[in-house]
Amino acid sequence: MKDAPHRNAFIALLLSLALGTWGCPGDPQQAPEGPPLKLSLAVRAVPDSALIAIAQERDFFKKAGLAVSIVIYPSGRQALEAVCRDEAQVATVADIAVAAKLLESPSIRVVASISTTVSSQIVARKDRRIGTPMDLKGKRVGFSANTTSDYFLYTFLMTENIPPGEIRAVDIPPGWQAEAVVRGEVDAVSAFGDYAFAAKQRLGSNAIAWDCQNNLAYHWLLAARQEFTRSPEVLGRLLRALLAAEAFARANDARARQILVRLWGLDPAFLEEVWPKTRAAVTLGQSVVTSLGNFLHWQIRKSGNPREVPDVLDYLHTGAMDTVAPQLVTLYR
Amino acid sequence: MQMRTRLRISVTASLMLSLVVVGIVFAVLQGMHREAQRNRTYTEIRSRINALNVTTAHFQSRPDASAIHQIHNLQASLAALMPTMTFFDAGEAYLVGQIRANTRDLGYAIERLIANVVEPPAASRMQHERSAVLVSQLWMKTQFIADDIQRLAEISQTRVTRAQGVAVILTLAAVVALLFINTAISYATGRSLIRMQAGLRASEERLRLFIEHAPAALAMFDRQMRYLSVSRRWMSDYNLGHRDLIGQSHYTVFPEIPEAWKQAHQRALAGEVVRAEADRFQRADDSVQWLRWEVRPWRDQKNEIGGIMMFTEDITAPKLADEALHASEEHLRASLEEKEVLLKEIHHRVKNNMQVISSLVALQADESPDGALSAVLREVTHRVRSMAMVHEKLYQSGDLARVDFADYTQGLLNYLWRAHGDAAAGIRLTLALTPVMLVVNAAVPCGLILNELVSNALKHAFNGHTAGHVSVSLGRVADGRVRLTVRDDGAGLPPDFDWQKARTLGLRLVQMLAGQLHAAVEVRSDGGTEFTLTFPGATHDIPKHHPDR
Repeated sequence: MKDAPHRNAFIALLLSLALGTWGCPGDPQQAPEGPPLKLSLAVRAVPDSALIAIAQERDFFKKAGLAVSIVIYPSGRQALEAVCRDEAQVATVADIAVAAKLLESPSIRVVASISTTVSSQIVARKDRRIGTPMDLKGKRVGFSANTTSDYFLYTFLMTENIPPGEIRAVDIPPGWQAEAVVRGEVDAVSAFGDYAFAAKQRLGSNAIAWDCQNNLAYHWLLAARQEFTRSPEVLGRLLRALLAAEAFARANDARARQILVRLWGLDPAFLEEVWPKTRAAVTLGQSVVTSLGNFLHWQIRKSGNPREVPDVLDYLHTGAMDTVAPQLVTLYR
Repeated sequence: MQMRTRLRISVTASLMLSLVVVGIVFAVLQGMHREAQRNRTYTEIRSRINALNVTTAHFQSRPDASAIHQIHNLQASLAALMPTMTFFDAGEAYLVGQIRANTRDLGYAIERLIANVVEPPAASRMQHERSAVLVSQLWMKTQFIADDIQRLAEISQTRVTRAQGVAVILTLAAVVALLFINTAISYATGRSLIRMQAGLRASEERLRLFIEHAPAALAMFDRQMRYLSVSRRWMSDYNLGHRDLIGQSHYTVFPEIPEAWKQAHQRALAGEVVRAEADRFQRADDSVQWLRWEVRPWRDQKNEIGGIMMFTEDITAPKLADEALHASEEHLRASLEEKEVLLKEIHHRVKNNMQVISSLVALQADESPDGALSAVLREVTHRVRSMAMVHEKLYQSGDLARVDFADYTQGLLNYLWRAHGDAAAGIRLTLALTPVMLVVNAAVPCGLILNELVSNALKHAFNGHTAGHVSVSLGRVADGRVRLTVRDDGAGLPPDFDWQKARTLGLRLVQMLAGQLHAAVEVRSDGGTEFTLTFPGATHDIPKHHPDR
């Protein structure tokens, strides 16, 4: 018997099976054919948007077939407003800001959550005789309306048994949060994590700060106008690039932080404080719906103009996530 | 590679692959069991979260001790599930960590909520609003947990699906490999079997052809004495024409087979080799065949006796020829005996006739008044007598062609001594004879020469003396020739006597007969006379006497 042909055929069969088994899934990093699709992002340069920075730095956008232009905004709300003004196609923005904007502009659609973070703080000046949360009564407390600083100031006051009416709330632009408290225009400020960190840095020993999120993370969302969601290919490529960035960040924690420092000039000390409380992950879970629902309730109640709370699911664009990573969509539909 | 080796490889490979398949299935089942355990935990966590959400919703409107107890129990049971959560990789570990952290935070939120209800702030509106905030935060936390649980469940399901897929692919690959190996081995084995069968068929065909064309009558039988193969010679030897014997019983084909042969067949089937050199076979049509045969067992692959081989040789023709030859020999012997008797009778009658002639001549000599004539007649008598004695010796001996010349010499000399009476009474005869067989055509002239020489000695050597000595010797010399010497111690030959020129009849006869014998004659006369003849002693050495010479 000639054994060799039979043995070779058997090996060839096994190899073909093995290749068939392992070769079937496509390579997510392989660039799609054709010219890259243009995409403009309105981004707030904070750890919440880490996946954007990593995707840009590691060329995941390029590999996904995107030519991305990024504009940095001082708050998610402003980034979302830029989208509404068609200055950008996709914004990174907190769920609270999205809920606030939805009541004004129903064409906003949430595509996915790209992180959750617990970083907001109340920063107060000691020289204004503020030593405890109760000392905020009667003080001027800065906040940025329709942002996380607005909501978390409210919940902070609630949990601290401080009636909101007993403080003097001052609406300030998000980018002025640190400056306002440092200059003493307000006695305290409900600030985003980076501004709170900057304020504390600048106030030094004169600063006193409290976490105001009560360990309740907010979602950092990708939001776009409804018209844009009709271009599923761009959103699909964006999500693929961000998923690649997520995998990179999970496997390279230190390098991910370095990218944020290098690309956006974030303070390493700030990152040291906030990064562990930031979960950079692409999801579209029921908690997004719950959060948006809660914030819509709160916004409507705060406005003093009772109206029916819209169905959050109507404002979610699930198509892109369903296509790219259906396992990450954990909605009750 | 031998078929047995291939089968061993096939069985070994099949067993190994089967073990691989079993291992894969076992690993998959174990993995699925682990995933099922995880999913049970996820389900329990989800159910507790849902129960917590419902309970906290009612708690705002009915904040009693029972509700608090229920919330505490749910929180405790939820916390108790946390250590039981396991993870497969770093991603899952992260999610599990998030769930554990959120569960801890959930506990704080619950305590705040309960405290807000049990120890309300001063303003009741504040209490209600605060509860709403705490509850909404609690629900958001539970939803974070639920989301992560859902993620874990999805991951688990993905892993199960992937494992099932891989298991199916690997199992299929193993099954295909098994099928391939077994097919390959079966194919190879089948080919071997086909080759073996073809070889067997070819071997059987060769055996069949060998038997069929064997220049001998041979047949192969199974244990039931059915024909398996038969040679053409067998068919022709037994006048079977073109009958198809294969499968037929030998005893049906030849019902006349004697019982003794059947017993021989059974002995061969028992392992014995049985043979006969010449056996009479009385055929059913009353014809007779003489056979030389041998039956011996043949063995199959298991070395068991599968039947017998039968070799037969029809020896009828040689047997009959032998019998005819025997009869012919008998006839020839009888004829020879008859001729011998006849020849003896001829010799006897020749001798008798010569003896009658001799006697008549002797009577004539006795009746003749003339002494010289009487002497001549007596010499004739002696000469005839010497010839008659040859014939006498011939018919008396067993050999009718040759004569023991020593015996003859003795008889002739006795006769001559008696015939010469007083003349020979004082003459002493000395014989030195060794047996020499001479054919008739040598014996007759040699006997005549001896007669002449002895007669001459008795008549002339002693010149009337009454004493003397004659010696006769006979034998063979080194070269095989016969030497006859007659010597007397008489007066000897005259000094100037040339016996070859002698005028006497006797010596002329000697000379003539010696010529017939191609004999060398040597004559010596020294204290007597000595004649020595040396001549070829064998039959072929002596040319036949031609009557004309």
